[in-house]
Amino acid sequence: MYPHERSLVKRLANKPFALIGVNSDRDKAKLKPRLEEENITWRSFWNGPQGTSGPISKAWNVRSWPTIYVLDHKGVIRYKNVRGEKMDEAVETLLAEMEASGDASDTKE
Amino acid sequence: MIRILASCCLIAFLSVSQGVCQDQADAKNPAEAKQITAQIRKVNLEFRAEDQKLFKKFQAAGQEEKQKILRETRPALMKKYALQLWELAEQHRNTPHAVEALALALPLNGRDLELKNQIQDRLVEDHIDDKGLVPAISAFSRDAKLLKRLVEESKSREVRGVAAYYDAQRLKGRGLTEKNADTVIPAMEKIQKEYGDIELVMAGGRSQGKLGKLIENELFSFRNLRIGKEAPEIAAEDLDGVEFKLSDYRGKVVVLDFWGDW
Repeated sequence: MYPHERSLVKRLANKPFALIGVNSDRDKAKLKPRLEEENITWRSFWNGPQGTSGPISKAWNVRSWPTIYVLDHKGVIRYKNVRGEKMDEAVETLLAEMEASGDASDTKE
Repeated sequence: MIRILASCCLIAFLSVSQGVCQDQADAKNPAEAKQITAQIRKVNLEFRAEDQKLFKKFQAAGQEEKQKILRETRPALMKKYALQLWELAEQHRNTPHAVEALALALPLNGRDLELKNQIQDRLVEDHIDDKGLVPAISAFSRDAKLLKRLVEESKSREVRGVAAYYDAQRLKGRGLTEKNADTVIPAMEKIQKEYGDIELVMAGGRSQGKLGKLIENELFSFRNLRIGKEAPEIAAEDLDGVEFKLSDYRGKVVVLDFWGDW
């Protein structure tokens, strides 16, 4: 998972795009060195000390990990559980859509 | 296909391995009851330990050996422990110990249908009115006839509620959709109203939460977490303890990734 996410984040660094995590590890202290090792630069909400039973994953009814949602620039859910190339395609489609709608005019490179 | 099979079995591995027994009090002789409970718990813990060992072996194994573990070694291991639990249940037939041991044995029947039916029949025959049956009901979750029977005939409110819940889950199939919503949502709302306070206890004693809350979450997710719906707000701390909001990222395309480093 990580390598694909890393390359997506790197490739779209100058685009109006963000990868946001919801991390469900119980132990934040143990996770810290892993972030460096794996070069995880994107920001994550922390699901709290209850881990996978934490409040965010509960509110979003997440039962399996990883679960992916892709939101458009208006905050509307547009894709669910797209992985790999499908995820890239979804993001590209939404970026193109955003550009076409003119909403991206002042965030362009 | 092999990969899909393997990953399904991994999920089954984890879910079967998580059980922890709960104490069951027997009014007749508390000391003896405790001992029997400990005995049942020990069998279950032994299974878990053996299963973990096998899981490690599975992870390190080559493709051919993986298949062998899934097809032969693990079903045999499960059957061995299912039989031990069955023996304990028979020794203490018609007691809370029996229902506990049978509920633990049921998901361990491996591929042995005959054994599964034997355990299932005994459970229903002896314990239909016993709330101790609840942890076993998930194992019947595809059996519409049996669920219906529990809903209609059990004198235990807990059993009726949980059976009705699994029946609604069965109706729902892979998920709530526009198509099945008209039949599934009223069924769910009825359960919420009549049995909302009942805990969904799994084999081993873990609770998944109250039926009312579980249904509320599902209905929320159907109404709000569908494609085309505005994403619900998230406001929480990041990994450095700094509060932020999902809506801070309006104006950007967002991939929201529920992840864990495991």
